[in-house]
Order: sequence, then structure tokens, then C-alpha cells
Amino acid sequence: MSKKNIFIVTLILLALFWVIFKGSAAQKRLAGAGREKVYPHRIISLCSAATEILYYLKADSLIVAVDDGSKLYTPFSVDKPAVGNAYASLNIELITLYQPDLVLCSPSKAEILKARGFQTLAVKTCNVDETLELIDQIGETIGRKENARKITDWMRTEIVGIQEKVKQVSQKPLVYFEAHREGLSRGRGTLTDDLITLAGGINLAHSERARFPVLSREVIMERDPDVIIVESYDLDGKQIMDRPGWRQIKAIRNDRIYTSTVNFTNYTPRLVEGLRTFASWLHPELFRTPKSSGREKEVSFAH
Amino acid sequence: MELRELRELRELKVVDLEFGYHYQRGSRCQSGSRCQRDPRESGLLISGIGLRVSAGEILVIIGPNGAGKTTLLKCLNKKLSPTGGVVYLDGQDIANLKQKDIARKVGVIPQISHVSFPFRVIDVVRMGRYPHQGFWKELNQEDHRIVDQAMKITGAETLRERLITELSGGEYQRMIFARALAQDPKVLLMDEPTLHLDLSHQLGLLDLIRDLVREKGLIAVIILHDLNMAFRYSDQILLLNQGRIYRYGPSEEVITKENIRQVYQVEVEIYESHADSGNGNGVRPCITPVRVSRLEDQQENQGENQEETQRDVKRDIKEKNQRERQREKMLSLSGDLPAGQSQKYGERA
Amino acid sequence: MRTKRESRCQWKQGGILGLLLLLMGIVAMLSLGIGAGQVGIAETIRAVLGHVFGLASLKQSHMTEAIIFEVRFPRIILSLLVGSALSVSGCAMQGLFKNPMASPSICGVSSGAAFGAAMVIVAGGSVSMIPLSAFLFSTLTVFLVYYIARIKGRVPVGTLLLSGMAVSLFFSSLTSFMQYLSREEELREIVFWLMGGLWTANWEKVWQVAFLIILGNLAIFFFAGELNILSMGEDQAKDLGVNVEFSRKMVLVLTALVTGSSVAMCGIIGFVGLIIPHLSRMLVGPDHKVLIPASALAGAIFLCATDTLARTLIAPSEIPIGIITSLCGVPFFIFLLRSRKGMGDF
Repeated sequence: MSKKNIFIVTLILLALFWVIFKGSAAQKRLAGAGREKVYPHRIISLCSAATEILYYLKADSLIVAVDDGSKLYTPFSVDKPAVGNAYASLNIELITLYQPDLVLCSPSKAEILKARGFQTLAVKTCNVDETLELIDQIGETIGRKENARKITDWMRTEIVGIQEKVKQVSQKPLVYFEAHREGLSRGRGTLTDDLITLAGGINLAHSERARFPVLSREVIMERDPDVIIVESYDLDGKQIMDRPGWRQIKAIRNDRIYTSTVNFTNYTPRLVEGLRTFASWLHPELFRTPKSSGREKEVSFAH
Repeated sequence: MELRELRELRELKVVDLEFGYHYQRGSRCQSGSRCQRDPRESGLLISGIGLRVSAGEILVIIGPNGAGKTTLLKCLNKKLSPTGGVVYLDGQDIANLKQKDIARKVGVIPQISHVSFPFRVIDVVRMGRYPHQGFWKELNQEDHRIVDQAMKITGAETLRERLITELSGGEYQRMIFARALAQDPKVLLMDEPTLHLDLSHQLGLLDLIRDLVREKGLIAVIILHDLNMAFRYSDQILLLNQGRIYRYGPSEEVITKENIRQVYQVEVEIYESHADSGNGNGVRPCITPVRVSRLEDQQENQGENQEETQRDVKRDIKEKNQRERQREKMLSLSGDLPAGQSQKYGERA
Repeated sequence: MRTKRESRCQWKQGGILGLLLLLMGIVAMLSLGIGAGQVGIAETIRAVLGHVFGLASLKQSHMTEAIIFEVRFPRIILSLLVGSALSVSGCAMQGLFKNPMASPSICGVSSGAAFGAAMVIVAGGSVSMIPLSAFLFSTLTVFLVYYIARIKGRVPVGTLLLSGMAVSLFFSSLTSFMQYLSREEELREIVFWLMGGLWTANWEKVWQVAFLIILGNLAIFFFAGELNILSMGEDQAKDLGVNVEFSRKMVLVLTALVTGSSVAMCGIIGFVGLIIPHLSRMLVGPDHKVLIPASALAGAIFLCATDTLARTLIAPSEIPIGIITSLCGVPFFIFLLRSRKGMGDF
């Protein structure tokens, strides 16, 4: 390395540092406005549950952009531009372009956006109580407190109603809930576990420590559930009968397999729908099966 | 500097060297300070080695496979740390020297190794200047001069831009030799440098080494298998057997029929040839293997002398004629041309 | 004395380096002008020139400038830095282990970092803790690997390799266990962090790694001579006076720092450290004094280009960059294997 080469290398390095320095000196805040205490009027929702809640709160006009998931998984037709799927990463450029004054997304992404100067509201996974809190929280943040209160009150009424009815039951059926994959169930603390319990059942995976445990076939067969609920995007619940050894299970012998949809176990007001449906499956003698199956675009409840 | 003066300053001395892989330094065997039994039993590969080579001298190490020759050579440039004894280089204990300091004085030509990356020959020879470089590792005029000279002497000049992955064994050896010379060493250590060379190149290389050693007052320690070559090019010979010195001294004393029988278990005949030996003696011994040693050969020396010797003499005369003819053939092949015609190392016959 | 042929060779190498430098600048500028928003190349060039020369007339709208300088610019710089870091580390590892199949993750840096990140995610810690934890664990892992392989003060290359494999596997399985324990969104986060992504880049992150990577690369470059000799073999290196243990330790530590900070910031991006050194070797030869700078530049270009691809192929969504580098890397690797050029005999 001769003197000449050292000189060249030093020059290049200096240039690189200068570029970095110059670039970072151009500090600009990505989200400008919002100094006054004004409710947000440009909302980006990167979480399908949050989008759904916004629609229920009649705040859909405030939404300027959503993520891909919101367009697919909400019962409403969401006619808003998408900024990519917020699954793995965020398209910060697009988000910046829409100039939101509130972004709803998962906690880790919220942290990253907050560091860049955006106003955020973190939406984490909830169980039933946390969902009610979430609806209230969102309502308060966007200035739709009364709407939120109305919805959560209604939800509470419904839940309590079902709870009361189920109290009389002595024999609570053992429920195995399967989500998308054999053995993958929902444990204590999840929304699904809450729903099953509220609907008057006992969650087979309730004793598991992990929230999304993978149960082995032997355990399932050994515990012999009375009811099986399968949640999947395309699989018909009946197909699991063909699994080797499963014919012995009580639920299958008594033909008590039900297919559920993801909409029932999402943290939105429609969990009530899910609760009603589960209750009707677990205790058909007490509850009628609701007419809707969850795949429809609207849910009937008092607005 | 006069060779005599150099001799006083420059020497390689080894005292009571020993080495074993799982051996702790300083431990001795139970029977006292000198172990008479086979050092292998105590895990030592070599033990009790002592030697002394001065400037302008060539020491050749010979011995059967597994005798510990390579181990000894590795101890001489601190590639292996001896578990006992001292190696003195110009009066300094090399245990106190750093690897780089040693590399400034000692050049090594190891056995051929596995080649990975496609460097050019000139790049590799330039690596020989590493021990002399400071932090910036830049090659100046002097460095280039030494490298070019090393390339010229060894005949590696023709290989300059070739990739080392495409070299033959002999060419690779030549390059390594050039690199060792580029280190500008005072001591040369060589582990069977003639292994991949044909006959003419073998002689050429050894001639070259001898010339360098004499002219520049270097010290050379060479491991060789060929006893004829060993005899021809050495000033001293060390015959190693089972990790210990069997014989050490001038060539004629070490290479005898008896010693070879004992160490190699091979019967040889040693003839005197009156062709030019290059040693300046006018007489050169030729060592010819006869057969692998049998039990009877062992008893040859014990009694029954007369009858045997008579029979031997008759057989000798008959076989001598045969060998005379063979030798003539060998001589013409070995390039030992009539006086006046010599062959430069690197040139093809 | 340099022969004419040699001078030409030197000029050629210098020329290639210069070309790479130029290419890097071009790719960076182009990438700066590509993105999901409607900020195109023309606006970008105007904005940059306006900034460099302080011309107010060339200034774009507030939004445009924000996107260029706050969103894209740090990301591109980060991709250049990380690309060069991974390539130089890969170079060093290949020379050190005398093995053309070596890559920066050979000593467990990636697995350790993955575990550190997973820990923070599962524990529900703040996102800003992830890089720190990942970096700490990656450094810890390398030390572990080194000291496990150390016997009586010497660290033989083969043992180092095996130790690296063992420790990598260990932390990989721990990370899998973390994934099992995690909740749904945490699981998602871990999985996608592992696939690598530069979308979180901001100036703060760039500053955090810039010094480490630039200085680390430079320090590795100083060992170029030793790496040359070491790649001929440990025995020969000792003959020539190289302090093998010291060089090995230093290069390992530097590689750990450089790779660790890259992985900590951006997740695990594979193949860059394996392929780019080979590509560079085909361009400029195996002499580390030229190879290391060439790898640094080539790696920077490669990662910048693949990152641009990652965020434009399925815009507005983004493909994790680890996937793209692997997809690009595998066919190239197979091509190298078949042609055997530049790999020598191994």
C-alpha cells in the first residue's frame, strides 16, 4: 500500500463520511402538523381488526390508507388505497406520502413509526376484555367516544346474556379448537379461549402454558374432546375425520365437528357473533344457530 | 567478510533437543537425566539431539521413515516448540525470538503442500519479503531487487506470471526455493527438496545450494533420502534413528556399511569411484543397495569371517564388472559430463 | 522491478476498482430515485444537487425532500455499508480458513445475533433494544467459539470450524425454541427479522454502524498481507514469520464486530459473504490487497441493487432481502461450481 494509495483511500473514506453527514444534516420531520389538540382526520390502519373497528365506529371516512390485510379480511368492502402488507415490513415512503396524523398498527411497528415522528396507536393481540378496551380506546382517540360506548355496551350485554344462560349447564363439553394446522390450538389468555369458556365449554388447550401450543395427536386422543371446532380458510372441518386414529374421538363419533372462520376470533365487535355461534354449537339445546355464518358482509346488531 | 570470520559469528547449534506432542517441558524419565531406552516409550519423537553447523557448511540429515527428521527440522525454526533442550542461532536461544525475527534469518523449503488459491508465482515469491516488512508492508526497490535475484538464481524467472495452481511439482518446488531465498536468509532448512525433481534437476538444485552456501557463507540443513546425494553434498551428516542420533559427524564416518545395515536393515555395497566427486577429494563413494538385510547378514560379522570373505571377494569381482557397466550408464544420465561442461539448474538437459 | 506486463496488470486492477466505485455511485443514485412514492429520478437528482451545492432553486417540495433524505437515503447508505461489511468479512473468512466455502456466519455470528433478537422480541422489549441485544450475543458467540476451540494456546483451523458449527446449531435451536414460546405477532416478527430487511433504516442506525463497519473493514484490510500468506497454509505462514495466532484472533474479532453489527441492524442476509468474494476474485485475483477493496465495493453495489429489487418487485409490499440474495446467489454459485474458475483446487 503505497503513499499514493493511502491518499486515495483516505479521500474515498472522507467522501463517504461527508455524504453521510450531509444527508443526515437534512433533518426533516416526517409528520409535521398536529400541534393543536385536534382529533386525527387522516388515519392509516395497518391492522385488519382496527380497520373493522373504525368502520363500526362510522369513522371510515377518516381512513386514507390501509394495508392489504384490511382489504381481505374485513366484512366491509374497503375502498381505500393499500400501502402494502404490513406483515413483514412497512412501506415508510408510502405512509409518509399519505401524511397521516394517526397510524394504527402492531406494537413493534408502532415504535418504529413513533421514532420517525408519527402519531401511533398500538394494536396488540387481545382477549375479550382487551378487545372491549381497544374499541373504547380507539373511539376516544378519534373522537367517536359515544359510538364506541354504544358498541361496547351492546357487546357486554350480549356476553353477559350468554354467560347467564350457560351458568345453568352442569356438563361443560370439552372443546378442541384447531387453527389451520393439526395440533395448533389456542391456549389460556387468548381470545378464542375466552370465547370457548364464555360459551360454556372447556378449552382442551387451556392448561397449556404457550399461547399457541402445538398439541400432539396422542394428547388430543387421550383427552377425547366432545366438540371439535376447526378454523381454517379453506379446509372443511369434516376432512379431519380422515386422519388416522381420529375416528375414535368422541366428537367425531357424535358428529360434532364445526367449521369456524377467522372472523369469529378477531378482536372486533364481531366476536359476539362468534360467541353466539360457539354457544349454539356447544349447547344446541339452549341456543339457536344464528342465521349468518360470519361470511356475510354485514352483522346485525343495534346501531 | 572472510569465510573464516563468518564462521565464528554464524552458527546453528543445538543442545540436547527433545520433542513430544503430549509432553510437558522439563519432565524427564525416571531413570535419571539420560534415557537409554527408546524415547518413543515416553512419548518423545526425538530426544538427546545435539549438533553444530557453521557458516558455509551443509548438514544432511538422513534416517529411515519416522525417525524424526521432519520433527527435528521443525524444531530448528520454532515451528514446533521443543519440550527440552535449546536451539541457538548465532548464539541466541530461539525460544526468546519472535517468529518474525526467526523468519528473517531462516528460510524453509517444506514438503509440497495443498494449493488452494490461484496466486501468481511472482506474488508468492514476494511473500518471502514479509519478515522484513514494517507496518505498511510496501515493497521498495531493494525488496524488488532481492526478489528478482532470487527468481533468477533459482531459474523461476520463466514461471513469473504463471498461476500456482497450474504448476508441476518441480516447478512448485523451484518457486518455494525462490521464496526462501527472497527472505535473504542465513540458514536454509530443507525437507526433501529433491522429491519431485528429475535427476538433472536434483543435481542442479543441490549444486546450486552448495554454491550459495559456499559463496554467501550460509548454513544449510537438508533432509535427504538418497544416500549418494547425501554423501556427495554434505559436510556433516546426522543419521537419525528412532528419534535419537545414531551417528553424527563427517560423511565417511557416518555412511558405512555397518551403520546402514543397523539402521535401514539393508545390505549395501560401497564402492569408490574415481569420477569427479565435486568434493575436491578426487574419490567418490557409490552406495548401492544389495538386498534387504536378513538374519544371516547380522551374523556375518560374528565369526565365519574367512570363508565368507573369500566367497565375497570372488562374487565381488564378478559383480564389480557388472556394476562398472551400470555405473557408466548412470554417469551419463546424471549429467556428470566431462570437465568443462556444467549444467545450470533450471535448464533442461 | 516491475515488468511491463506487471504494470499493466496493476493498472487493470486499479481500473476495475475505479469502475466499481463509479458503479456504486450510479447504483446508489438510481436507487435513490426509485421508490413507491411518486418521487422519480429527475426530482431526486434535482434535490440532491440542490443540497450539495446549496441551491435553493432546485429544492423540491417538503414531502419530496423528506422522502428522499429521510426514507431512501439512509436506507441506501445502510445497504452500501452492510453489503461491504458482509463481503469483506466473507473475504477474510475464506482466506483465514483457506476455504473458498467459508462465509461470515461460519463462526456463529448470525446464529448468536438471531438468538439475541429473538430474546428481546419474546420478552416484549422495545424494538430499539433488538440491535443491541443481537450485537452483544453475536460477539459473545464468537468468543465462545474461539475459546472452545482453543487448545494449549493454539487454535487449529479445523477445530475452529467445528466449534463454529456446534455453537451455531446450539443457538439456532434456542432461537427455534424462542419461536415456539412466542405469541403470534412475536413469532411473525422473529421470522421476518431472520429473513433480513433494511426497511427500518434511519440516520441514527446508519451512524451507529457506519463507524464500526468502515473502521472494521479498514482494519481487516491492514491484515491483507497476512491473509495472503495464511491462505497458503498455516505451516508456510509460520515459516515466513507470520504470527498466526495473533493474526487469526484479530481477524476473527474484527469480522465478528463488522458482521455482528450488520446482522444486528438488518437481520440475516445470506450469500453475500460467500458469493461476492468469489466474484471479486474472478475480477482482480486472489491478492487480498486488491481483493478486499474490490469485495467491499462489489458487495455494496450488490446489496444496494438487491434492496432496490426487494422493495420494487411486489410494490408496495416488500420481499425480505435475504430471500432475494439467496435467489440471486444460488444460480451464481452453481455456475461458479461448474466453471471452477477462480476457486483453484480444493
